[in-house]
Amino acid sequence: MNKLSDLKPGEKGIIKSIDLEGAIKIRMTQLGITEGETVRVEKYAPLGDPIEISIRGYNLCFRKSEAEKIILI
Amino acid sequence: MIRSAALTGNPNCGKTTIFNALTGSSQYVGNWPGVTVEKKTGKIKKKNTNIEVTDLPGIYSINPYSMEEKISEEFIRNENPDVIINVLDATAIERSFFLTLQLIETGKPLIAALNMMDVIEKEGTIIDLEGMTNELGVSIVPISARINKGISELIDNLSNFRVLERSPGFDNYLQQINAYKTNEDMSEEKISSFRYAYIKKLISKYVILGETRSDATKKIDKVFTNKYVGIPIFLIIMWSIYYISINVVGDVSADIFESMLGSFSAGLGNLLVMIGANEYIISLIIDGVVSGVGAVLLFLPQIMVLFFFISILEDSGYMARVSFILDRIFRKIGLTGKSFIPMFVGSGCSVPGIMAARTLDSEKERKLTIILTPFVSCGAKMPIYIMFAAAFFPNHTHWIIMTMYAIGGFAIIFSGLVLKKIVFKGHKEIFLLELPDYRSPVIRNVLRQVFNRSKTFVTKAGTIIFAGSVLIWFLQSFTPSFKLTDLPGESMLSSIGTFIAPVFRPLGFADWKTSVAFLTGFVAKEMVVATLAVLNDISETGGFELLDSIRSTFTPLSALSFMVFVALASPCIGALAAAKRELNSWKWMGFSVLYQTGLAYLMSMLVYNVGSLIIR
Repeated sequence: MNKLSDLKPGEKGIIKSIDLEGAIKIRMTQLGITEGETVRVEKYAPLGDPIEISIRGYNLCFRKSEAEKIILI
Repeated sequence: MIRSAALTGNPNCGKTTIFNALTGSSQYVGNWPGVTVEKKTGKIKKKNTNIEVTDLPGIYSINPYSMEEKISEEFIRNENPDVIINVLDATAIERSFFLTLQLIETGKPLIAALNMMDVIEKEGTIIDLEGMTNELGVSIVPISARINKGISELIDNLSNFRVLERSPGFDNYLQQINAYKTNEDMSEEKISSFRYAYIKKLISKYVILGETRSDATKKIDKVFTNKYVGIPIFLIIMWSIYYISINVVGDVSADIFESMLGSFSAGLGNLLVMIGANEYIISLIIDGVVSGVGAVLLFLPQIMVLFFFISILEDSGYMARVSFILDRIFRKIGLTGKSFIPMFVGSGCSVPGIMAARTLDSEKERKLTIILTPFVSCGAKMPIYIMFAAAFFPNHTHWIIMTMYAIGGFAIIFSGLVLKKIVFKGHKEIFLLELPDYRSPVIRNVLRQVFNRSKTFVTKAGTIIFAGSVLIWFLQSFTPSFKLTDLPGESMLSSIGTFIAPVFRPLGFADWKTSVAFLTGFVAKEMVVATLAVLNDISETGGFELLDSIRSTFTPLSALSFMVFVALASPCIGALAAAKRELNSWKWMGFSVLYQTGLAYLMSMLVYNVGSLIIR
């Protein structure tokens, strides 16, 4: 199983599903993290966490614990 | 006829810049998501229009998620503005349209302002605005707010607002989504995905993306968020800001201003004698007002330079990066990197810092941040530190001041760890933050911000500090039985001070003047300096020899202990009122004050007693 958190900076993937629940999931979908969308990992923070991604032409960061729940095709 | 309009849009899409351009206001603009946390109103007074515009905090969607979003959502729902101006960020057009669709779905009249057109034109992106307008039935006005382009077109569109015809395709979408909303099997996420699917179609039909997206942000980030040098760079930036504003500027300005004030005070004194003023009036003006207000104004150049750097950082986009870098550390104390922003804003003044906590995503993070933010020394504490550091550690002033910030930082970490375990246990925080592109700070914004903040500082000197200095002079010049006295030891103030002094004895300063300075610091932190200046009669010798008089009252160790107490103890009344308002609870505010002052007392006692052991 491919997770967003497995990608290295510069690598891309397509979102298959988001295994999160509640407010955070609603929020992420509203920000455009939806199934079928291409996501690219930009970088990890100096201390290894959080992660910065680009999606739909803009950049967003969240924690690795969330990135682990974003499953890629 | 349109009479009222509300500006809405994603965080950091330029609403406030547009608001300022429309209404001629000078509201604060910064480059991070969530600068505006309150709604603000102004009037368009151009071209015979008279429209009231409300600037709302940025929202990503109209399902409220954090507190500033609730403010916007409730305004749109309840206040019923005649028209909504939906500002879209053309550089993040897909995400911007999400809110636009939600707004259209509510059925409220809408105008879209597509901002940052200058940026995407440079990238070579082409947008068929007419096609989009016809499809959605919404006027789309292209603007570039930062270079003031498109604003008058926006005003024209507002004053000639009319409802346009929608395309059948879009009508179909609206019917479908409204059906989904009433269908219980459809989750919020599925509806969101459906919206995005429509947006994708819209974009593919009307937008040709340019190929030349600037990679400046990426390049800058390669350095600023670099694995090895990212954190050191952050520390160096912070250190340099304080070094330059405190030491470099301080060295030049302090001497000049001190001699200027000295001769001003002497000149004014002579003048008053010449016109035959009553000697008490002379004493009131020279020893009270000039000493007190002057002692505070001495620090204006340093404060201004500090505000200048803070504003540049805020306008550049670096703040969001600091949140990104520091999240890992903030997590340990039950917060997210986003809490850095309220705390950094708090280094100017705790009041806006406490209010900036509204952008945080959970109630517990917000409470904890409000309680911890006052530990970051505000600009008003700076004169106290500079004064004591210059008196006792003249060669290391900025190090001493950095140490005070570090002690504040330590208090935040310690308190976070403790409060997370005891008061806020079992809480999972959410960190989700947009990283905006860097942009070169607009000098107009920066100067406006420096001006506004300095104005507050000077206004305070002319009002609160002025009144406070008069009061202190009065209490110091009269005995408890209202007889004039030349001996401060017999004065009312000395009785008050002597009464409280024992409380502070374990901290190393039992002098009644110091106790009084603490009390007045509760009104405004600058009052501490003003009080010591008035009480030590510093203008007696014709010059501002504040430092000498402080050297005679304190030892280096008790000065350090005093600074630690000032750094951590309860903030001023203004900040307490803000904390009460934002926490919406007397209980929490009370807890916060007692906690802060208690910790300050313990830390200061620790510094003094451990210090005494070492020195002995």
